[in-house]
Amino acid sequence: MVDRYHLVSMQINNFKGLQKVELDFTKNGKPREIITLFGHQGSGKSSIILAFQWCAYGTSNVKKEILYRDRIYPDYWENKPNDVIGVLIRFRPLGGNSDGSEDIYCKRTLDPNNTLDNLEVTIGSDIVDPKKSKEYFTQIFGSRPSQNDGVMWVIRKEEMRRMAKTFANKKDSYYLDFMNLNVPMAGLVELNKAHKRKIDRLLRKDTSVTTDDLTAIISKVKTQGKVLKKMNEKIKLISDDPKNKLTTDDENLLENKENFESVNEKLNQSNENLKKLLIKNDELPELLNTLLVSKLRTEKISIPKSFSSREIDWEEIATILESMSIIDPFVIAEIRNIKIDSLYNTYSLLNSEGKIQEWISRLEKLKSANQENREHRVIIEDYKQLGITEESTKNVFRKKMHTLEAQEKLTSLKRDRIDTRDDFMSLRQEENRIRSALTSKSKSKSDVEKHSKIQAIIEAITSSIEAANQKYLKEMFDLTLERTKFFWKEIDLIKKYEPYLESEPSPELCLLNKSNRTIRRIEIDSQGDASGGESQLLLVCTCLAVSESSGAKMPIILDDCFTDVDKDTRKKLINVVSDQFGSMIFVTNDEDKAALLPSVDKLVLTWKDTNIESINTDSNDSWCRWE
Amino acid sequence: MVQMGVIFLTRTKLHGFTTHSIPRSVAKNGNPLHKCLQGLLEREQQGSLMGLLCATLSLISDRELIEDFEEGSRFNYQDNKLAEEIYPSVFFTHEKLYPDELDSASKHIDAFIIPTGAEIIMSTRADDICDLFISILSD
Repeated sequence: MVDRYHLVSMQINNFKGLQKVELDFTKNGKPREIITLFGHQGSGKSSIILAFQWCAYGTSNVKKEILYRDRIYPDYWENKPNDVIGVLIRFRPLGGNSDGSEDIYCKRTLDPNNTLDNLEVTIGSDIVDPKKSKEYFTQIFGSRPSQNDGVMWVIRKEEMRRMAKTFANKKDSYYLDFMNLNVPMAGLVELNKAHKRKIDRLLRKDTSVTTDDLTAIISKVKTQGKVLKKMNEKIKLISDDPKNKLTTDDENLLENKENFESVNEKLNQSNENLKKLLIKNDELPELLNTLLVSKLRTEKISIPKSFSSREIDWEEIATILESMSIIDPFVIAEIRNIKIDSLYNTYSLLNSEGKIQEWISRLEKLKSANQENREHRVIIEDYKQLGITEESTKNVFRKKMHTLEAQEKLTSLKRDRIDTRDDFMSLRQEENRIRSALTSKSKSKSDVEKHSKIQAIIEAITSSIEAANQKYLKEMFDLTLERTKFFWKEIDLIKKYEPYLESEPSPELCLLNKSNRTIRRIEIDSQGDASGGESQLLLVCTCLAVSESSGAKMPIILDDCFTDVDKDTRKKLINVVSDQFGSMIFVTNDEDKAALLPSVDKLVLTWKDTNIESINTDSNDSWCRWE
Repeated sequence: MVQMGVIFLTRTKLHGFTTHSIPRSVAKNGNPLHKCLQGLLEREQQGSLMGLLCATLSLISDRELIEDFEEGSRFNYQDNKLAEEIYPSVFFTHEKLYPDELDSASKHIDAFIIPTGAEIIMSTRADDICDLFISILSD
């Protein structure tokens, strides 16, 4: 990159009042070192300077700034984008080929359909890629001031005024603004703040859970899980056990059980009844006697009354009669000879005659009981054929009871299982919550560590940059001050004063009387004791020094900024600037000032026709001319 | 009067019941004949009473007598107090119904009357025996 550039030409389209303007800054094919731009008020001088500035820094979105988009539109557009705005500046490196092969074309355009400017750089006939183009723009024009409007290579009264008020190597100073070092620092500070906020947020997220809580809850979950598993096994065991299920046969048995039991009960009653009616051992003689007597009566056989030997003791009778001695001993002997076997005892027969009806009734009842008993037995036998017996019904009833108990147990278990499962699920949820909290805590911790590390790095970088900046800025500031003194020394013709930075109470540019060491303060806003010319010269020198320090390659534009200095000093100033910066543009509306350097051609702007809304050099060829 | 069929029992067939004074089938130890009386008599019957039952059945029925002389009478009707209440009646009835019998009453009862009664029990249902009783008593 070369140190400085000459201006070759400029093309302006639709910028403020300049509709289509082409300016050629060469003479005999060579760039001029000093360009005097002369024109009366309203002729378009300031618009041309702003066109340089816009080409350098582009459209602003901040309303108060002079390059705000609405302000650069031609008036007749009425604040609405209508056409492409464009400025093209052609530079030639100092000592560059006159054939233009090394010329650099910097072009900025703003399309009405776009909100962003387009940059384009061409070197010779080669178009540079957009990223590289941006770098060329920055190298030629320098960085845009970070805080306010302004440009270091245009020296106007407003720049000088701001310079007078804020020249210092401290924050918010005009000097630092142009040095453009605040941007990375501001970015780093912002980044650091963002990390701090993140760390604070992460630390707030920290919860009070510990790994002990997790261990405890895992243990509870396991225990509850085992309980649940056992319950499930128990439920399965009961559900699957065939003993706890009624089969179809069981159901049939249960269905018939009631009827069977009813019949069985009747059978039992019948058995009992029959048992009572059955003829007992001790009843049999009476029945047989009754039967025999009935038979004898039927056969019409008479039954004489007889006595058995047991009923009449003939021996005793004989003994009694013998003792009385009134009966013949022969008769007594005959009595003694009476044999019981010689007669059948009919006592029982005769005695049973009265029992016939009783026995008829008894036997009929017995017969009826037998029939009834038999019928019941038949039914019971039918049931038996179907497998329905007293035992089977009892068994199935027992099974039913067992099944009911099992069902009851199963229902109770299932109910308990719901509670247990609910407990288990809530424990699992608690476990997940604790795990999540711990993970989050761990993540938070790790994030905090990560952000802390980054923050530490940022702080270290910031601190290093700050330190480096401070050192650099101090050196640059000292250099700038030295250069200010240099320019002052080169330009000032009186040699009585020299620039001096008064540090107390705040940094302030002053003039130091070299002989008596007294200080003269810059005259601004009716303050200060330096003369107007001295003040202007000091500020111009400072602006030139700042411009030099900023590294911009653009020629210096002096926009009528030294009205109060004397004629010789002006001449000297122009010559020094031209020598130091290679080329320059001197803008004035004063004919005398424009004629300061007779050998230098003037670019004269004339715009007398008030009916013309904008300048078009194609149709208004008399607007500008070299004289 | 219930009409009963006459079944001729051969000596061999009745052998088991006539080797003793009462048929073995109606003895205490129990056998098919005794079971025939289920529904009529209490199960545990005394042997002598069963013999007298057989005799009574034979006497009250019109069944033709069957004969079995092999064993003769060895039945002591006086060995049982309950039997004493019936056997005079049986002998009296036998005397009246078989006045022309040449054999002694004991021998005839043992050899003819009791086997015939046993045959009736074997060949007749308890219900029919009950009907027979009712019929006899109702005449």
